[in-house]
Amino acid sequence: MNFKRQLKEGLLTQNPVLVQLLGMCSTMAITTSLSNGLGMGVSVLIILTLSNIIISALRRIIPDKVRIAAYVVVIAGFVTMVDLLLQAYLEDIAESLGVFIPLIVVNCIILARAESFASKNGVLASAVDGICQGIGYTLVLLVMSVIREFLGSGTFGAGVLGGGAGIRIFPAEYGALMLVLPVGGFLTLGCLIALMQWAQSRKKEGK
Amino acid sequence: MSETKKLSPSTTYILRLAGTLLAITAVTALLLGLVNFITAPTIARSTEEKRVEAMQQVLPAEEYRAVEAFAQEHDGATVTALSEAVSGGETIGYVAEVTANGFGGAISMVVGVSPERMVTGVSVIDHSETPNVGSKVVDDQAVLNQSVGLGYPVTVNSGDNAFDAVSGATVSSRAVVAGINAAHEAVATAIPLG
Repeated sequence: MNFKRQLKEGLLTQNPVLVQLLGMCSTMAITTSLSNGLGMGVSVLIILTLSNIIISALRRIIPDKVRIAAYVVVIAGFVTMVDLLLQAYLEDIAESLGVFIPLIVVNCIILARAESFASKNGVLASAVDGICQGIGYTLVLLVMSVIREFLGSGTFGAGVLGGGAGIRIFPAEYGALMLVLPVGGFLTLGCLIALMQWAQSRKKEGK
Repeated sequence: MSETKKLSPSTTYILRLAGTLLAITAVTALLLGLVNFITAPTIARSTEEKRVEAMQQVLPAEEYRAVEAFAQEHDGATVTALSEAVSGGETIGYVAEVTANGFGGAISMVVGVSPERMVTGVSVIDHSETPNVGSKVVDDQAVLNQSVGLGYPVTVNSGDNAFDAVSGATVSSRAVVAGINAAHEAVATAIPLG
């Protein structure tokens, strides 16, 4: 087990969003403000880590033929628990994330990590994998949120800083509305993926 | 023919599959039940608090009593609940909880109506309107407050009871107006004027 390597994979070389292209739907939909990005990222990180731990612990018990069904039950269980807990104790975040919390069930990052990592590795390594991939996912969400929020509404940190309204950098009228809409999600994500590809290919050539 | 009945290997395999799945689902269900048991009262309380808070905002009163019979559908908007606002033993108005169809989905709002059938206030609880377009209507209390004092029927942009639509957000503006009219209609059918 190599924590540093796993962290590097989660953040860069095997980043769930930018390289594996998983979890696109939620990435596109919720990254309109910093608080949304943070809330979604942390929720996925927690669910991913917990489900990785359980699935890895049960990997010898779960028969191969019903493994997907078993994974989905475990993941859905955790998602529902997090959903209920958010609704009870972090109501504002639960409200703004809305339907995307229940949709974490079908977020392919979690199922993909369960299938490709947790079902083949030990509990500790799987937990680390969950944390690293979760951090990678959260970071991309944060970067996208900051870009879209800044260019689209002219604020930084809406919902977190400046008493909930965020720090205003330029008046909202001058914001490029398109960036807050789904179109802007595609554009921002496309640019980030291109940037990632460019950085990786440059690194390869340099070797 | 005295051999005892043995399960064939494929049957035991199927039983093992089903058994494992059953065990996993049962444990998950148990845990979910536990979490629900702990969180349900908190969730119910905060939902109720939010409701009362919104009602206080549109029509402050000491007590809200549910009204049973009222028109639910009007102009595409649905009234889900109607309450009588009571202060000091007197009816000071009615509060309707309305769901209107906005541009991005349902707009859930609360509308206060005075005994004289004038709007006392509108508050939007939840919506999924486009940020910076439809949200200019539903998130801006100053825009919503233009409805205060309007009687039935509220119309968009012209007429005696005009609600000025926000430019570029006509659909959201119309949805809010439809919600207000539905509240008017519900009050009118539940408590005939006279």
